[in-house]
Amino acid sequence: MYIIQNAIKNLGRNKGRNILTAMIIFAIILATAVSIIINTTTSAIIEDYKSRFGSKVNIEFDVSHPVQMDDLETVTVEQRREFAKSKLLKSASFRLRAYVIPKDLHSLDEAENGGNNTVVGGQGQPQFREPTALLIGSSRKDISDDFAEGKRKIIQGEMYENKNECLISEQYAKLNNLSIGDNIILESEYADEPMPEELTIVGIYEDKTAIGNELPYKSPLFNRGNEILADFDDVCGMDLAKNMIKMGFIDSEYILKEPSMIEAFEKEVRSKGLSKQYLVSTDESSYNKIVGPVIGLSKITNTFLVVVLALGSMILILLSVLSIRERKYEIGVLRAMGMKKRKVAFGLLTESIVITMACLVLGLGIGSAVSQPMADSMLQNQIEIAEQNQNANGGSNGGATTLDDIINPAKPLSEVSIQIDSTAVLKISVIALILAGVSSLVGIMYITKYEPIKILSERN
Amino acid sequence: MSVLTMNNVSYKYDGTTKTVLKNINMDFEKGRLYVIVGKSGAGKSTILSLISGLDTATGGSICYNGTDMSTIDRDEYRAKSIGVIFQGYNLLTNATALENIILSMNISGSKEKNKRRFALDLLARVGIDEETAKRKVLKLSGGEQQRVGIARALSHNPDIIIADEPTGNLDSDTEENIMNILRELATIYEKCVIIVTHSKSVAAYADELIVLNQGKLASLS
Ligand SMILES: Nc1ncnc2c1ncn2[C@@H]1O[C@H](COP(=O)(O)OP(=O)(O)O)[C@@H](O)[C@H]1O
Ligand SMILES: [Mg+2]
Repeated sequence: MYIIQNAIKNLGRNKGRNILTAMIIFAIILATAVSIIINTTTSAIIEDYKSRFGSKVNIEFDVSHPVQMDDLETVTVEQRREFAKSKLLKSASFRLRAYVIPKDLHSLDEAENGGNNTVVGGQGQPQFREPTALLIGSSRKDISDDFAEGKRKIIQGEMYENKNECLISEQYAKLNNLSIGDNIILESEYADEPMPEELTIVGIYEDKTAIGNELPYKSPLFNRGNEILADFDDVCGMDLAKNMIKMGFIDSEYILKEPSMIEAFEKEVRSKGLSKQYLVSTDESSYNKIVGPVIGLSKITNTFLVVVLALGSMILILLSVLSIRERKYEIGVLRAMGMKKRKVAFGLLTESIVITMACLVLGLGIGSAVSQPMADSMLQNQIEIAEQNQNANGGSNGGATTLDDIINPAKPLSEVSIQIDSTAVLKISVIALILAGVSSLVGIMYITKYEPIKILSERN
Repeated sequence: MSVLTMNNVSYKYDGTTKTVLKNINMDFEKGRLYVIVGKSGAGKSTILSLISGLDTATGGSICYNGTDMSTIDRDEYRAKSIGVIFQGYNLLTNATALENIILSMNISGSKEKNKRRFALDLLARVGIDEETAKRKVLKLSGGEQQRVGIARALSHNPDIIIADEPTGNLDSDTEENIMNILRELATIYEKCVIIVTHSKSVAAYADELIVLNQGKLASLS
C-alpha cells in the first residue's frame, strides 16, 4: 500500500520528467484511440456490407445482350434444384408465383373490376381471364423475409405441411367467411382450361405490410392480402402452375458460404447447364463501390496505428534511457533501505500506470470527440480518390450490365457514424497498459540487473 | 554472544587486482561502540558495505547472530536489522526529510501507530525541527542532510548501527550532540554501534578503537 502512495507522491516529486512522459503517452493514446475507434466502426460496416452483398448470388438475364424471344432460354426448375445442391452454398431457396382465380370467392380490391369474369384474347388464341389472386409457393421453412421479420405472422391454425395445404390472409378469410379446415378451389387464368386444384386452409396470417393500399390504382393483384401461401414443391406439382414455370416466374436465392466462392459457383452452374444469356454475380461491384472508400479509410487508420505505436514506443524508451541517471539513484537508495526488487519494480510500474490511466481517460474523451470529424474528412478524401479512379477506368464493370444496375445504381457510402463500443475501449486500454509497461521497462531492467552497492557507488 | 562476526574476510573489487581487505577476523558485540580509523582509501567504507549487506565478501564469511549472511535475505536484513548512515547520505533528494524517514519505517514494516509523530520526534532529537523536516532534502544543507541520514538509520530500531564519517559535515556542537546519541544507543539501548572516522574527537567516544591498515584490522584497546 505504501508503495502505491510513494509512487503517486513520486510523480509530483519529478514533475518535469513526468509531464514530458505524460505528454508523449497522451499523444500516443489519442492517436491510438482515434484510429481504433474509426477502425472498429469501419470494420463493422465492411462486415455488414460483405455479408449483405458478398454472399447473395444473382442469376440474372444479361440485358446488355438482348436476344429474340424465340431464342430465349429459361432456367428450368430442375436446373435450379441442381444449382441448389452445390456444396459452396450456405442455403438456397425458391419461390414460385402463380396467377390464379379462386372459384366463387371474392378478392380484396376487386370492386372496380366488377368480378372475375373478364375475358381477354382474340379468336383462335387461348382465352384469358383476369387473375384475382396470387398463389405463392415457397421452399423456405420460415416462408419469407416478411414472416422472418415479423411483418407477417400466423395468428390462427398452423404452417402448411402436407400436400394441398395453404395459408390465407386475415382480411381474405373475413371477406369470404373462410376458416381453418375449409377447402378452396383455385383455377388457372385460361378460360378453356381451368385445371382446378383443391386446397385446404390450415392457417390464417396477419399482414402488416399493407403494400398496395396506398396505390392510386386498385387491383386484386396489387393487394397482398390476396396472396395464398403454400409449399414450393407442392405448387410446382400443380398443373395450373406449369405455364408460370415455363415463363420463369420463379425467384431463386442462393447464399454462398463465403463471398469469395462466387467464381467456383459460376463454374459449377455453367457446367450444370446455365445458359450464357444469364449472368452470375454477387453484388460485388456495388459492394466495392459502396464500401471501397470505407475500406480505404480502414487501411489508412491501420497503418497510422502501427506507425504511431512503433514511433511512440521508441520515444518512450528513449526518454526512459535519458532519465535513467535520476532513476538509478532512486532505485539504489530504495534498495539500500532494504526494499525488495519486485517492490521497487512495482513502484515504478505504478507510476507509469497512474500516468497512463490519466492519459487514457483524457485520450478516450478527446479521441471520441474528434473521431467523427476526422473520419468525415478522411472518408471524403477516399471518395474523391475513388471517383478519380473510376473516371480514369471509364467505369469498369466488364461491359455486363443487369437490369438492377440501371434501376439501382450503387452510391458510395458518404457517411460513417462513429460508434464507440466496449471492444474499442478494451483495445485502447490494453494498448495503454502496454505503453505503461514500455515506459517503465528500462528502469525495471535496471533493478533486476544491478546490486544496490553498484548503483550507489556509480554515483558517489 | 557477538551480534556480528567476521571470519577471515577478504575483499577485492570486481575488475581490480588489489585486495582491499585481507583475512579480517573481528567480533562486534551489542552494547558497545566501535570506532574504526584508517587513512583515506584504507577500505573503511568497503568494510561497512560488507557489514550492511550491500555487498558480499569475496573470501571468508560474515555472520549475523551466528548465521552466515550469504544464506539470509539481505533485503530483510537491511530493512530491519541494520541502520546505515552513509558517507554520501543516500537520501531521496526529491522527497522531504520526513517522507524519507516514514518510507524507511514502512519498508521495515514498522508497527508504529503514528509514524509521522514518531518520525518528527526522531528528527527533533538529531536537531531537525518540523519546518525543516517538511523541506525537500535537496534544499537542506550538508549538515542537515547528514542528520536526516542519522535519523533514518535509527527509524526502524535496528540491532546494529553503522556510520561512515557521520560527523564529517557537522560543527563541533552538533557533532557532540550526535555522538552522545550514538553513545546512548550503545550503553542504554544495547545497540552495536560501528563508526568509521578519521576524527580524533570521535575516536574518543569509542569502547573499542580499531585501526585499519594495509587491509588488516588491529584493535587498540
Ligand atoms: N567501486 C570500486 N571499484 C574499484 N575500486 C574501488 C571501488 N570503491 C573503492 N575502491 C577502492 O578500494 C579502496 C578502498 O576504498 P574505500 O573503502 O572507499 O576507502 P575509505 O572509505 O577507507 O576511504 C580504495 O583504494 C578505492 O580506490
Ligand atoms: Mg570512505
